[in-house]
Amino acid sequence: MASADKAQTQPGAAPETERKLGPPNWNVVFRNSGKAFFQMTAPLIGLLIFWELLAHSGTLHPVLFPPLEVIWFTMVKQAKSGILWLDIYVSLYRLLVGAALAIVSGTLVGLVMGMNKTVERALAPPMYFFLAVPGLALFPIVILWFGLSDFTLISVLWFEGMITVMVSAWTGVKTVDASLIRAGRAMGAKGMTLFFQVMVPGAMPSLIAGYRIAFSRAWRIVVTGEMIVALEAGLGFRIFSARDFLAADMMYGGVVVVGILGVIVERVFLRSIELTTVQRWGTLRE
Amino acid sequence: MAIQGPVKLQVKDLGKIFTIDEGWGRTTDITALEGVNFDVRAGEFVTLIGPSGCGKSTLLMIVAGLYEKTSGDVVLDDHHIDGTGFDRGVVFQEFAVFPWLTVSGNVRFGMRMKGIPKTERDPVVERLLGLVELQGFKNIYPYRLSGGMKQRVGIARALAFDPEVMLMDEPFGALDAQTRSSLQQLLVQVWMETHKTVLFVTHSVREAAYLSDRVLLMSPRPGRIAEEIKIDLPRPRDALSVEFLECERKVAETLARLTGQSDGGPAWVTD
Ligand SMILES: Nc1ncnc2c1ncn2[C@@H]1O[C@H](COP(=O)(O)OP(=O)(O)OP(=O)(O)O)[C@@H](O)[C@H]1O
Ligand SMILES: [Mg+2]
Repeated sequence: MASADKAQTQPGAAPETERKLGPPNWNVVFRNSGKAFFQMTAPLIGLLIFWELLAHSGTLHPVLFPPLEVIWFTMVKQAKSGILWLDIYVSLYRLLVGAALAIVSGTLVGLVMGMNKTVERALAPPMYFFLAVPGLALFPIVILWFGLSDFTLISVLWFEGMITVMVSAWTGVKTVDASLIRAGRAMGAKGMTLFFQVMVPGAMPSLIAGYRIAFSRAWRIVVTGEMIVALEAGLGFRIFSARDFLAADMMYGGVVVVGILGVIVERVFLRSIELTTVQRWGTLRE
Repeated sequence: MAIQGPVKLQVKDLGKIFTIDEGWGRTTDITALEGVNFDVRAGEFVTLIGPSGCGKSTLLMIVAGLYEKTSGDVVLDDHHIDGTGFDRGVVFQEFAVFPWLTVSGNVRFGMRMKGIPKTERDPVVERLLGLVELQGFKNIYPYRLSGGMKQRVGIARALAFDPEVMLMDEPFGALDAQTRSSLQQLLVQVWMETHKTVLFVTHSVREAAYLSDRVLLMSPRPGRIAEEIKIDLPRPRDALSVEFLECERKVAETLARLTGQSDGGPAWVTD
């Protein structure tokens, strides 16, 4: 990875000999980031151009394959009426509540599993079982219990996310380097202190990887769940109900918004946790 | 020159049997140590040397309180050792520096565990990083350090909570020859300044001769202390002097005899 990038991502760390860094070399920054930007966007732009040409060629049905400007205007209309923002808000709210519950409970249970043999033996089989069951398959049952409500959606979300986080927390603890644990014990750490000062940071790379997977799984479940549970709002609900009006432009627009939001959550939210922990420690490089 | 202080550490008739689970209800016992006896005096530098697998690490880990013993006794001053304690500092072959803490965070760790107040920690960190020549590296995360620097953090960290005995398990074994000799010199310096009692494990005859007041030679498994050689040379030692080479030869020949590799021929390279 380019050294300019590293200096950017680690403002707190001093260089090897703590000598002063000069001012940023903007030429290099612009050249590097410009090049990276082009490499990342060129395929996307190519795809959009291809779509536009295809849509205007007259060979495809305009209702099924609307050109980009139609999709764009539909979304602008949705945004102006406030529906788009409501959908985004509702979907993100479900995601965040579900994921937060999943992360807290999954981390706790998984860490304890990694530390305690009895808990591990008791919880590993059900964990593997539910890992093999897609969250979506649980919807019909949970709908029976709780009806068509936010509560139903968030419960499934929580459960699915929790199982994912559990696995990573558990394996994280199991794979903490034995010599680090010995070092911690030799320096007087035991019990809860050993747990929080050595096991948890040692398990951090695995934990964060688990949070990432949990988030992306949860986002999929939110969107598809909104189609099944049929609540009043949400991106998934909007895409699905567009079917009734044959509004393909709305569907495409919705899918794009879902994708963009997912990427933002992943890049902004989870990347920043990573930057302040495992990447600073050098346990992970991107 | 020989250290004549009071006895600090006593290992009495120590035995260790590892029971290995072979599956299907079967187990195998491996006798790693049997009837190990020796004393270390206060301020003394004692080295354990012996063939691979003879139980040196096991012995050190038992003294550290990290492994359970099967029989016998380890006494430090006047209390029986059972578990870890702040009276012993351990330096590991794998460095075992915490990657999630900065250099100073690593050095501070033991002091935090011991409950030394914040204000008293900083001067100690400062002094120890000076001692191991890492002044400029306080806020750096370990992944940016070389192996030799990591082990210097390991040494500073083990000294930080001011243990009476330092236990070092092949601390320089994973380093290249040059780094190793500079760290050996550094260790002699640190030892002369801090007057710690040291129990050191090594494979290297030269390292043992260079560092120790006394070398304890262990027999192949099950490990016992088979011979003891005093090295009565002033420090810092000249590794090319005739006296030093004589000591090195003596250790090497005794070791060769113990491991049954001696055929009375010329000595081979021992480092
Ligand atoms: N955790 C363990 N479980 C089972 N057997 C072990 C364990 N640790 C060590 N042993 C066995 O005990 C014996 C002594 O091991 P130890 O690591 O103490 O040797 P050593 O003298 O330090 O060797 P080396 O010089 O190669 O480091 C070996 O035969 C080893 O197989
Ligand atoms: Mg060993």
